[in-house]
Amino acid sequence: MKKFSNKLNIRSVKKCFNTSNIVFLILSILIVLLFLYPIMMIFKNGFIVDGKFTPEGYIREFTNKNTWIALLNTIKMAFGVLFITWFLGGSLAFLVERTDYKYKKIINLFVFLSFCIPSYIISVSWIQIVSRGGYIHRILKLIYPSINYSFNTYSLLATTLVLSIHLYPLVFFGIRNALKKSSISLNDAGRLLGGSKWHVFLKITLPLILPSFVSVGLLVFSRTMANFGVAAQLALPAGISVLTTGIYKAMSELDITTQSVLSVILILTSMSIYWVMNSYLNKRNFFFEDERKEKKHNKNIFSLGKSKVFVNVVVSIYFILTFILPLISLTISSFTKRWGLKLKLENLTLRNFEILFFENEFFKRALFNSIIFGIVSSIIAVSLAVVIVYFYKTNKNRKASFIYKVASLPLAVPNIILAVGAIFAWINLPIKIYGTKWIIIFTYIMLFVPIIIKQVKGLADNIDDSMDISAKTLGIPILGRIIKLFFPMIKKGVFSGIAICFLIALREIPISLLLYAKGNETLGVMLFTIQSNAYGLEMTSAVSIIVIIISIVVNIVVKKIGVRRAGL
Amino acid sequence: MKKKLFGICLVLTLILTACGNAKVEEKGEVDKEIETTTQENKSNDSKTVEKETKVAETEEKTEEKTQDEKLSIYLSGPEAMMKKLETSFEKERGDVVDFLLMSCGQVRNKVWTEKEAGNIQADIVWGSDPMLFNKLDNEGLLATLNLENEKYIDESIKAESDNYLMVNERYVTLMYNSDNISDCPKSYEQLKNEKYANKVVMADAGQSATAFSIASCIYQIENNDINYFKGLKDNGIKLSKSNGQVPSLIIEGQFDVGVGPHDAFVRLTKKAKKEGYEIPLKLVWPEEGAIAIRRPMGIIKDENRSEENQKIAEEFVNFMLSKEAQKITEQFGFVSVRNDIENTYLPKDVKKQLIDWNKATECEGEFKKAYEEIF
Repeated sequence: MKKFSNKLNIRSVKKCFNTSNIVFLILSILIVLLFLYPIMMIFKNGFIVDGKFTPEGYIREFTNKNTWIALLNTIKMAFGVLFITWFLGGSLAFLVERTDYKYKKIINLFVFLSFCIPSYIISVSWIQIVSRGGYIHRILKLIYPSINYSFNTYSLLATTLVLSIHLYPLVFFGIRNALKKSSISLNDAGRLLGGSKWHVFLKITLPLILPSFVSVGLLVFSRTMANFGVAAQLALPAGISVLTTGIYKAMSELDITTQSVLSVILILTSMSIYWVMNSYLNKRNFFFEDERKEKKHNKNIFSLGKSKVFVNVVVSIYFILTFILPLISLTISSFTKRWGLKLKLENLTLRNFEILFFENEFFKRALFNSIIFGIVSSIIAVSLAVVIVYFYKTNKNRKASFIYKVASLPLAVPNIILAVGAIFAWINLPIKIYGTKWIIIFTYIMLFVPIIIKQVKGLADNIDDSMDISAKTLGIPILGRIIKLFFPMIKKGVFSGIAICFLIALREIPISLLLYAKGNETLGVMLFTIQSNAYGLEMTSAVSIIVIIISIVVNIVVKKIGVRRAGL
Repeated sequence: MKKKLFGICLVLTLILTACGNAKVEEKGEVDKEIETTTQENKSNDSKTVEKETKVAETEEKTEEKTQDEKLSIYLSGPEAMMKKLETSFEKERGDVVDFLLMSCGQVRNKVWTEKEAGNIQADIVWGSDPMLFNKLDNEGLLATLNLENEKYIDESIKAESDNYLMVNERYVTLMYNSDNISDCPKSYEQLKNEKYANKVVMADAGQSATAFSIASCIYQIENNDINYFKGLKDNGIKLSKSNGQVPSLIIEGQFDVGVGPHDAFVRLTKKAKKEGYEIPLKLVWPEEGAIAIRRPMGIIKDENRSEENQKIAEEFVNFMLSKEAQKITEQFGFVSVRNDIENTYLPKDVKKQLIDWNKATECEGEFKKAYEEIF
């Protein structure tokens, strides 16, 4: 009897310690420490007023008119960016994947290069181009010397436009991948049944890629709500506040309670939208087929016909305005002794670059750190994200759902709040990493995991569950299934995820700005510090040019290792 | 494929290594000037030789200090000035301090966030505004100072508490772009004039600690009448994130008039002269007077700090009041708090406007709320 009960106990213990439970345990510990704990600290701080635990802070902010104005501005801006990026990114992706447009490679190149330009750099070039004393004003002054130039450089509309220019590549990548993968045979069937091209597009193609629009739209929406740099640059000077700038202001005013409450409001707003979009996504599924078959269906693409010239002109104007002009403006400015001086040969110099490369130790350190932090954090984030998505896909239960949802949480949390949460969580034991480079790397991981999950999830959804079940039946262990079966099918998403994360690390400001210590400065800190010191836009432009060049180099390297096929 | 990948990685590594090893040479005109001043001061100091011997001894000990063991100082100010001060202080002591340079607002945010998290990481804080130091002091977070050079400090500039000191002073002025306007405003009141509509810029009190000081003082000058700021807003005033940006935005031509501290003007003018170009920036002392902004410094109380580091912290605070350090800051546009260094920046006929910090702290909530409503 005893033997039997001992055997039973051993069996139940063995059952308890099966691979799935061990993976769940490890993931849970990691997720709680890395994601939940910092965010919970923010929630908790909203309840602390003058050292006492009270809901006073929440009541005060919920009854404050300014909070609602900031929230309304944030939502207006986020929806504005969402619709503009859907339109821009979607149209260009369609042009590349579904039409006979001749210069597809140029579109691919320009879109990626646009994504290489950090958002605050776009806002800097926006100021350089349209503001009083900017390039447009200067050109007009040459023609009409007495012109009274006036342009509303600082507004919510300007913020929305700049963020749209910055974020539309995300939509482009997402929709292009979905279009590449979506079944052409259904389109064939539609056409064979007498449907016109537009009818097939509206009734078959569009519904098939709609989940991708929603999925990537969610990313755009949350990144817009979380953006601080552009709003601070273009909206705050006009006295227009959004939630992130409100948080920053509260921080400047040493009001941690308000800062935490506003963060909670922002998180809840983002989460609500996330929940609505996600519940839509859960009801929909992609329909994919083998990519190799697509190539045989080239006949089915839209022919631009006579409108080719018109499309060429529109696309050219678009890239001139959103990419070439800002780049020219930045390049010229980077060679000026001081931005704002007359453009004469005597006012041009190489000194800005000389200072950066040969005199400024800060720049070299920042460059090195940004690259290293970006590589380390994106590799760790990828490893975590792949396991999380795999676990979620193969174990559709509450445990997996909990891990997936918690890991996706930071998507709805602004970077600045992630940094504040990180300080509160990791300044004291048990994880005391504040003041070291690891706090920046850990916070980057927090930021990157949901981004990679988004990149990978769409691809993972298309893998038939039966494959994993068969491998499991054949006795292949979980690690083997992830590495040999799951990873090869999602690797394109993984590589594009790494590339995106690395580029984010190159230009990220709020996290490193709040968490850096001596020796751990990044390019973002450098840019912010330069703008705050005696250097003008000329030095910001010089650093921007270097960041853009590095981004391009990274792009080439990443393409060499196979990301081109992944859709970048 | 692997070879290619290896090749690319190798090239990247080489670039990074080359980047990391490039030699640093920094010898600007201003720096040279300061070096000369420093050397002159030193030769006048009878204790220098004695000090240097002591230092040589400590240098060996401190040479191997890791980053964690060094004294961490959060500060704001021009980078070149901070580098000069660090070099000057460490010349006698070895690599013992770590400067973490930020803007005034960042210093305030970082210190306060760390305080709320229960652990201020800095040993010394320099910059921001007296309001932060008053708050830290009220919570018992500042160590009492033992100032060797106290007798040299101008009585009118002394801090309200013994636990922090004022290191420098600077003045708020009106600035304008001489290429764009000839008729410049003479007072803060005139900034509301329609002819300056959409052409005025000042730093945002919600973002910058110094800007908050300036706005508080203007509020006091205007007899706590918030309508002044309403008038500015109605006249299309724009807000910059820091005071340092104000003169830059005027030079760039984005705005014609601005409110900002004089030291940024001094540095920009010096830089332009050095680099051989002209900037269309002119300065006007406001009729209401020049608002004096002071930059406080204090040592954070820490029972776990080693005796050696506590000593270095005290030495640093005293160093900042030394003639040598004060001369360095003066070269960068700041006014010395020492009574034996002449104030060459404020014209004698210009009235100095002092911020009543007690009054400012009293009205802080009311002013902030009203300011937020407007902007």
